Amino acid sequence: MRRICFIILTIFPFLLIGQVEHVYLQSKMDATITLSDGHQTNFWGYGYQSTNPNARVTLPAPKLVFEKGDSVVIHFYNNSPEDHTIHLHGLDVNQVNDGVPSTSFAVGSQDSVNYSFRVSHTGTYLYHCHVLTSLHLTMGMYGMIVVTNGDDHLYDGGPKYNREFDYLTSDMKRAVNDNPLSPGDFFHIYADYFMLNGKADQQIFDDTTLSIDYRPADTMVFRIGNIAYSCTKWIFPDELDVTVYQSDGREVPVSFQADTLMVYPGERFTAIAIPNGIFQDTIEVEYCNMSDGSTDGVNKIPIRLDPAHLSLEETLSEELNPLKIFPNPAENYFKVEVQDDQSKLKVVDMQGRIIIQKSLDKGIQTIRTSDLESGVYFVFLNSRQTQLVISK
Amino acid sequence: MKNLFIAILLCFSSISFTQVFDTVYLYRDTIHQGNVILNVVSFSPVDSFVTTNAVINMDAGETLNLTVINRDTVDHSLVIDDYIESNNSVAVNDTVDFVFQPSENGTFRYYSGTDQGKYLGASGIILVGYQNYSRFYWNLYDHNDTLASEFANGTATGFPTEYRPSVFLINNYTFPHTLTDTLSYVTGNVGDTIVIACINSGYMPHSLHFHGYHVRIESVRKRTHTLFWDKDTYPLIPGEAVLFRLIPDQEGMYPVHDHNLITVTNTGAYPGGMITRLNIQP
Ligand SMILES: [Cu+2]
Ligand SMILES: [Cu+2]
Repeated sequence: MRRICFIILTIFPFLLIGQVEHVYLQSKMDATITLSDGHQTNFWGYGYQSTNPNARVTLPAPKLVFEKGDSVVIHFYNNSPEDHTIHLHGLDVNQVNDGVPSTSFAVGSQDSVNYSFRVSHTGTYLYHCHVLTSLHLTMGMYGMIVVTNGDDHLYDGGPKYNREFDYLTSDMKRAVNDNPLSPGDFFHIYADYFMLNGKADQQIFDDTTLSIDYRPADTMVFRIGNIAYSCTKWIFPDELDVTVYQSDGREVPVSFQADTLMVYPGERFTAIAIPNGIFQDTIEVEYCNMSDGSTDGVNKIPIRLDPAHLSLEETLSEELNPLKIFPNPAENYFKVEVQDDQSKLKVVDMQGRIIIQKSLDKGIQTIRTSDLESGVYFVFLNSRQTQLVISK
Repeated sequence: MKNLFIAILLCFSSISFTQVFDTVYLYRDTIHQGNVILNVVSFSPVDSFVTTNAVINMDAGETLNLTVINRDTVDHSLVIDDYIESNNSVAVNDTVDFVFQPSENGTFRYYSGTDQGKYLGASGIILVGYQNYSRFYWNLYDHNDTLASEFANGTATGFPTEYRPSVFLINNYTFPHTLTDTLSYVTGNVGDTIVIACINSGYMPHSLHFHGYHVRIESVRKRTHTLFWDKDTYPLIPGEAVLFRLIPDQEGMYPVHDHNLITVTNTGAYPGGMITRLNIQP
């Protein structure tokens, strides 16, 4: 059967249109990971192929990034003693490339195969092994696939973004990883380690690709995928406006604001996050037991203003010479006391755009804000500044 | 004279609703499939036990007159969320008529609202409309086999807060037996419009993953914000009833399974449980 599949793959190497991206992956079963509590355990995973025999596989597997329209060939070398595959979760590939042993083919020990497919929709996807999946997933054989629009839009006609944070939640039952030869009954895989891109607890705070230092002008894309046995509940801080645009690599019919987001096993979401103020907080990720709904684990993603912009925040909290405006929050106007003639006043939005610019004379002056949308702004008067909240 | 005319009109309009009649029988038995042994109560379309709860089809605009006959050893009731409340009883050996007049098309779930009904799986699919499409039915169910036998013999003290299911079924079949169930095993051709009426009769969410295709959520009863989403992985919370619309754009044999991977097992053995397939010909 495997030979037939190879022949099919060789004769029909897929309609290779657009850019052809080649990825060289291998699988290994001899890796170890240090968990957040210092415990070491085994994992099986994927990594890039290398001439270095000590090349490592990672948990999660390397994130694969493609551009919409790309043709992709994944050259997969199973550098391990047991069968594995790559299932391209959500990419709707043809049957032979689907990575399911019973309907596609398994890749035997030391075999090399190609998976060929085309990525036709932007969005967030997964890949993982589909051999004895109940075991090979808790062992760590999974990663994320991102399909971009090739520019700074989420998709044609979709929102723009300037920064990206990709989060793959997963979990493991450590006893299984400690001793994968006797995993026990598979219906008893109840996880006790809960991860975000393979990290947990303090490891997340220490990882600059996971923790968020935002800049006032940032529009961030969050790509969220869940490959865990648990479902995850994302709880966003009030100061972060999160709008969901895509799920499972398709636009949702109506984008929607989310204070919380449930992500069930195998689901993905793509959302845009915009800070609506200066704050320091965490995004909370709860891991819920699918069988009885109990919360079995929590991870937190720290989010704060980028320290490079902290001078702004420090100035704002400076008590020596504060700029006083009232009312604040304001609706259609605010008043400010001006001490010198020809003072320069600026109102700047969170994206750094100057919304109001005026020269003011000494006295209590009224600034109209009827044209401003609700949100947080900065008011500068000469060298002094403060934060203004417009609430309508 | 005018009033008489309106009265006649009203008469005509009321009889213009097509009435359909259906009868279901409550039976209890034990399912034996490989190493799976599970006690269930099932709504049967015939006057004897059958494995799968009866599937009821109706055209858009029809009114269903459903007769429930209780051949079980305990009392039951009939519930359809938002339509028929649980404050009724179908006593042992009793026959009770119910009327269901849906205000929209799509998938609905009928079930027994008593503890013995809820905790032994008496729960089935009603599909309203879509009768001209190629139709399939997935009634998802899960249980702990020991707990189910305790419910069946009356020794269970309630549903546990720490639920640990061991058996996962579609139409009361576990994989690979699902592959012989013509109600759930999806067959079709590229370009067909296929609808799959799916309910969750179990006690936990089931996150169904489709290989090969995205499906459109054509109707949904609980998580209504997902209406018309295109998904490859769709979670059904307990009690949910959805209609998936699938228009295959490629041929192939693809699995569909719950992506919570404890559920693709039969009392701990892999593969099993909540797996079926799509078999799409050119
Ligand atoms: Cu594997
Ligand atoms: Cu998957």
